[in-house]
Amino acid sequence: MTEDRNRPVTIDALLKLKRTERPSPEFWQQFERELREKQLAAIVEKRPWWCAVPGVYVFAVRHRLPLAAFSSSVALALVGFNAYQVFVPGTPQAAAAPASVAAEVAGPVGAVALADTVSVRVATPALPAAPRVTRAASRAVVASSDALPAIPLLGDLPASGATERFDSLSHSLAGDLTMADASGTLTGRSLLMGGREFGPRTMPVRAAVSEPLAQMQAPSEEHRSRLLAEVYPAMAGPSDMVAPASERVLGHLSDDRLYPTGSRYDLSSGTFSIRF
Amino acid sequence: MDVVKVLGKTHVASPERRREADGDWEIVQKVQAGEVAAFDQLILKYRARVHAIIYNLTSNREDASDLAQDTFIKAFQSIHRFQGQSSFFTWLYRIAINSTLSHLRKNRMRSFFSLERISEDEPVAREIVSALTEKSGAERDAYVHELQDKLNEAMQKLSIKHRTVVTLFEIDGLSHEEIAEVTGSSVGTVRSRLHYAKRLLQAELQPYIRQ
Repeated sequence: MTEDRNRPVTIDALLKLKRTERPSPEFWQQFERELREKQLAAIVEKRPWWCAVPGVYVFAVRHRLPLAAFSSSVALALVGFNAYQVFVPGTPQAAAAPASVAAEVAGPVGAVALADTVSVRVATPALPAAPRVTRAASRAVVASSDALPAIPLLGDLPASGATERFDSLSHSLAGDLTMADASGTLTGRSLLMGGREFGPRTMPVRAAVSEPLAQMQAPSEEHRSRLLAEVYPAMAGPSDMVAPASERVLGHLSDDRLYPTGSRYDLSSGTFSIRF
Repeated sequence: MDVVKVLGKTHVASPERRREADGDWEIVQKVQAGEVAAFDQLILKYRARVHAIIYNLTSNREDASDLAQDTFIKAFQSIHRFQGQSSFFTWLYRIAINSTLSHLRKNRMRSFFSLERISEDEPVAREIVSALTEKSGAERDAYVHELQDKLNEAMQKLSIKHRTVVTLFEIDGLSHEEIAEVTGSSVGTVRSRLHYAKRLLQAELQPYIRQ
């Protein structure tokens, strides 16, 4: 014991002591069991695609693939992958495109079309950029010369506080159209008077859509526009004749004259009269 | 002096190492050919050494167990890419050390000791402890426990690079050339790091050192 106490203890000796920190034999049984489980899980589990990237690199190096050719093929694959993601039908982007196209058509174009038809004065606010009417959108407007097909699209406008009243108008017009559709007649009066609140309306400020792909019209929308163009012009004929006349009549009347003539009761000149 | 044989980028320190590397390469070829069970031989052969390296780098037995398992899983998954340009153990050590370094960097703020027991059944440990203390029984156990704590604290005070070199050289017994290959640095760097790390450890463990 005294001999041991006299022995020098170096840093190497102390580090050798660390070699003796070893786990018990039972530890290795558990280790092996856990390792087996992980190994099986690793075999079953599908590895993510990016795990194959080093393999591609090794392949390129092993087969002496020139760096430029390798990089260009990788870049081409990436671009192709992105393009595939954008254009593949059935993706969320593709599903969102018709809605944005409809909203675009129902914006300034739809508003102008309504003004031609039922003389609703629509004050369009100054847009930050001139609205771009795409080929598909303009085709939809041309197909429906009286712009009635644009009416159902008004439902696609965003429901904000400023557009709530405009929405109610569009709903009532849509109701009139449905009724007219059912009865087979459509008069400008029903269109004009059916709406409760005609007057200056403010279109919501819409952000300019800069995504060209978003402005493309879906084939289903095109088909619908074509069908509506065949149906609505015949029904919208009377409204073209009646609505401008009503506007002329209303335009000649001042507010003072308009409201008393609209009333059945008259208290002027000290007498009370009722008109029948 | 070991015969340093340069084979491409590989330094084979001795004929035994060379034979060992050849045996491993045969097993690896079997695994690559589809004989998956042959990989168990490699696990049995290297699990203790891989675990020891990781344990001495982390000073945590649970982390060491998990990381050692992960090392073998990664090696198994990537064994088809192993071309035999270096020895299998070098390749395996590199995976183990990279996994451990990544783990240590991620959990820099969360590190605690979970130590294995120093086995005094081994002559080396008994001699060293006897040279340090005359105590016996519970007092001796407490002394050994304290010494173990100090040793691990001192190791954890080293930077990861210095700790790796000390672990591979002093605890696993690799040569400077092998460490250089495993760590991807030059032999001079390995020597320099080893020297610096030992000086730091000596300063930390001064109360236990007797010249």
